[in-house]
Amino acid sequence: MKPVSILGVAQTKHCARRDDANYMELAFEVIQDLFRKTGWSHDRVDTIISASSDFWDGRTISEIAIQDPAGAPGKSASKVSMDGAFALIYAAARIASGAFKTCLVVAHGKASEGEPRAIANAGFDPLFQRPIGIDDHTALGLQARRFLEKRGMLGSVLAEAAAQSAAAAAKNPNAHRRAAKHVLAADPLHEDEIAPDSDGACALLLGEGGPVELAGFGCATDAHQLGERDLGDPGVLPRASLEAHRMAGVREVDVAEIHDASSAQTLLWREGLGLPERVALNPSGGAMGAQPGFATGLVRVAEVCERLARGEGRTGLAHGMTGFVGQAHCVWILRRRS
Amino acid sequence: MSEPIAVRATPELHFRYAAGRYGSLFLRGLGEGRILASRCARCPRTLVPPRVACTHCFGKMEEIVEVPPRGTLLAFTLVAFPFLDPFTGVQRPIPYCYGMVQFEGTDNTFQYFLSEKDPSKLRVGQRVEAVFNEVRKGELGDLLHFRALE
Ligand SMILES: [Zn+2]
Repeated sequence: MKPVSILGVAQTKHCARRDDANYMELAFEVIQDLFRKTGWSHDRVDTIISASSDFWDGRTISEIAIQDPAGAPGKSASKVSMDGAFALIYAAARIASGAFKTCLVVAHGKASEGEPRAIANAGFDPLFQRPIGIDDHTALGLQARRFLEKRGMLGSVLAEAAAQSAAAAAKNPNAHRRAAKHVLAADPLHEDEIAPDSDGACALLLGEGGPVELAGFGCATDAHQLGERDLGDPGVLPRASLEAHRMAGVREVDVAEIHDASSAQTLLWREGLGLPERVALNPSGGAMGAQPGFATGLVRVAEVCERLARGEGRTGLAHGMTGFVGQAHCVWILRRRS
Repeated sequence: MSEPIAVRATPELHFRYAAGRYGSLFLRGLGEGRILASRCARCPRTLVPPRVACTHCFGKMEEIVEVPPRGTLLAFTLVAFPFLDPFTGVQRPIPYCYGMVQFEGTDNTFQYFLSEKDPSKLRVGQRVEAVFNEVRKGELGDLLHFRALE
């Protein structure tokens, strides 16, 4: 296998609503920014892997909107309908195999164009679950309830974790939610304890010789049905984490960015990843500061990459997830090349 | 064995698609009875509707130009299946024809309704012109259809 490194990253400033940019314009913005930063151009990109959701975009074959800015016509391009962190596996494999020299990875999400809760509801079993009004937020509520119950914790820990994320997001120019109302949303979760719906995009360039390498990854999928999992446990996350650490030959990282859809997940995923207190978790504010659909996990990778490239640590962990309340996890270990 | 059960569901999802900068320009242009295109300085190509990234060389299309509201019919077909207009949720009267029209001075084709409902009266290479509604709102429907010039 050839080593795979990140040649550059870019992300948009994430917002609650971007009416000024359609999907193509959003992708164009982030890809042009990536090229500006890396000095690259379309001519030198061999293949394109993207991540987006047909359901969220309101069109089947959701990559159609981003193909032109990605320079996909005429090249080998493919899409993963999962979080961008999973798409990165596909992209990295293209480089590691030696089949391609450079890969452009793009992920986008525009929650403002659809009805996030209704779309989430449609992601559940149509016969037995949808009719009860289940969606991503109420499922997060169930998870938070199980989490508090199993740990014997009070709801105040959720508020504390949310406040920490908000403080970090306040320092991140790309995050958009720095404060939210503490009103009950999906018991026991309050509005400020649930990640926002965002519009945004993220792009990465993979190849050889970049400052930060993809040292290892692990991913695992759990049962889709909430009734088959104890939501108060981190589920298959420890397994994905172990796999990633093993592959990278890394025992402990210096920085971690995780996709936390609620402040209960901030705590639960930290536990599932086995991150000690010493490790800086979500210095960007994580998904609690901006959650741009299927770009959320790829933004975590970009955040970690930038920090390592700046010399803030030597190894880092980035986490993305797909499905409801952590059905599938993907964990990446990044390492600065010295 | 008793009959297997199938449950009918009628989920409804609503979207609010951002037209963005270029799409908004195009729709406003239709509102003024004009066809706007984006021009690429490198290729150089002129494409309708306008878009930020050139579909052929992927660079930024900087220039917006107005093109004549007439062109050449390059392909056409008949729509005969019951079809709901996604904007209104109302079925369009069928059958009708739509076609691919290359506007004068452009390098791609634009697909839209044709006034002619009988495909046997249409011909590839035929000259057509855009017909706009009297009352326009800055939306796709401002463009009524293409009709034959000959
Ligand atoms: Zn061009």
